[in-house]
Amino acid sequence: MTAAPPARGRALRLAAFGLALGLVLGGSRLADPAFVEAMLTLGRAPGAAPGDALRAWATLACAAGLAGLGFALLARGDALPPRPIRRGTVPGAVLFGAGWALTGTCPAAAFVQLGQGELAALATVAGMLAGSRLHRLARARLGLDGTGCAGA
Amino acid sequence: MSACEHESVCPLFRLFTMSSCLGIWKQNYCDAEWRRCERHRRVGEGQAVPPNLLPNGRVLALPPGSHRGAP
Amino acid sequence: MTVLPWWAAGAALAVTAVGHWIVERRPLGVSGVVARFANVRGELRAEREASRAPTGAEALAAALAEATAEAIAGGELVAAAPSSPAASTAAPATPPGRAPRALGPPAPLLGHAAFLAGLAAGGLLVRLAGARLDAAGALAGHAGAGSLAVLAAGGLLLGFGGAWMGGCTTGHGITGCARLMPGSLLATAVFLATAALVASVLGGARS
Repeated sequence: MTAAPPARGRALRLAAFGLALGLVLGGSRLADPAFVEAMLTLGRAPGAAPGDALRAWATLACAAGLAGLGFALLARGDALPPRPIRRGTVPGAVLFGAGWALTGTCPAAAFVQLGQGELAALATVAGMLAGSRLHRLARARLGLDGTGCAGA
Repeated sequence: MSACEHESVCPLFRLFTMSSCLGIWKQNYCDAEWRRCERHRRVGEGQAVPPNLLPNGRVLALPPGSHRGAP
Repeated sequence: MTVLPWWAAGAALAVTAVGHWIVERRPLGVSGVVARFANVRGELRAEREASRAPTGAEALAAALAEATAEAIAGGELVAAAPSSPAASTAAPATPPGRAPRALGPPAPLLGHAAFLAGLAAGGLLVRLAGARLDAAGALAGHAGAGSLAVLAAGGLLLGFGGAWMGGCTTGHGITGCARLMPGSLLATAVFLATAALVASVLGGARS
């Protein structure tokens, strides 16, 4: 709880990170539901172009692999908050996966889509907000698991 | 007894660990009575928790109108 | 039409994820950011409360000392016998020349709003560069008839499930898996498998 860094400077940096992520997701078509559907159905979906699925999986594998290398080299010994397996890990992932398949959109992609002019993504975002609010209620009333997301 | 699950993300926990006299908070709450910790309770209720809320519910705050310490 | 080849996109994602940790000392994740905006009033209240905290090491130490003394006097804190060596740094083995980075403070709501705006700006730039979504109203085409309701329902699952598992494709899939966190590895495997299954069923239902 040291003196907080100036909010505006931090906001600018975070905007830059968001921009970078948005450019990559948009430019790689990972924000395109048709591309995601091709990836999830391994190219068998009606709208899938040949090579889409392979390209999508290669992108994700490459990202995780290179990030792993980057963390190992540049962040050795750093105290990243651990992500242990909790009660909510599996059921949460099931629901998330279902939602991902239904919309062809992950949370980040929904905002990229908004930037691309897809106003229908507002429905997705509204759903996401309602869903997280519902989870907080469920956690308070039903004792549901989930320390929530640590957030960026 | 198990320790509080939020240790790795709680800003106060780090403070309590780094100082010998503040360790008393860690011994009483984080390591033992974390269920009575006000921070833990609020997270469970889904509330946003300010970093200056102590486990016993007291808020570290200057009285309104006083100068804040020099950064 | 893909603007970025897979290896460039993968590298850029990795740089963004690792860079975000190094610069912001927070793990990169999107679902947590979105979840905050489902509780704007509470988040702003917490921020207001936090802004009243004494700044500066001396003032903070004084306030903490006073609060500690009060809590001991009031019986809320019991001075136990010194157990483990005090001020144990609990820092893992460090490489020579650099102290390990610890988790930094969360960004103010403004910062997270800027992050989401950045995502949208990225989308806008990509669109201006000509790489628009392939089908007109691709989302509507993807979700089929009654698309807005389907998107909202899917969003509900994304929001609830993401909060329940504590992450999303970026947070668990990239950051968590890169660090080989058990919760992330399991969550990623499960949501990938579920998504593939549901997508196949839906694809079959549509064709």
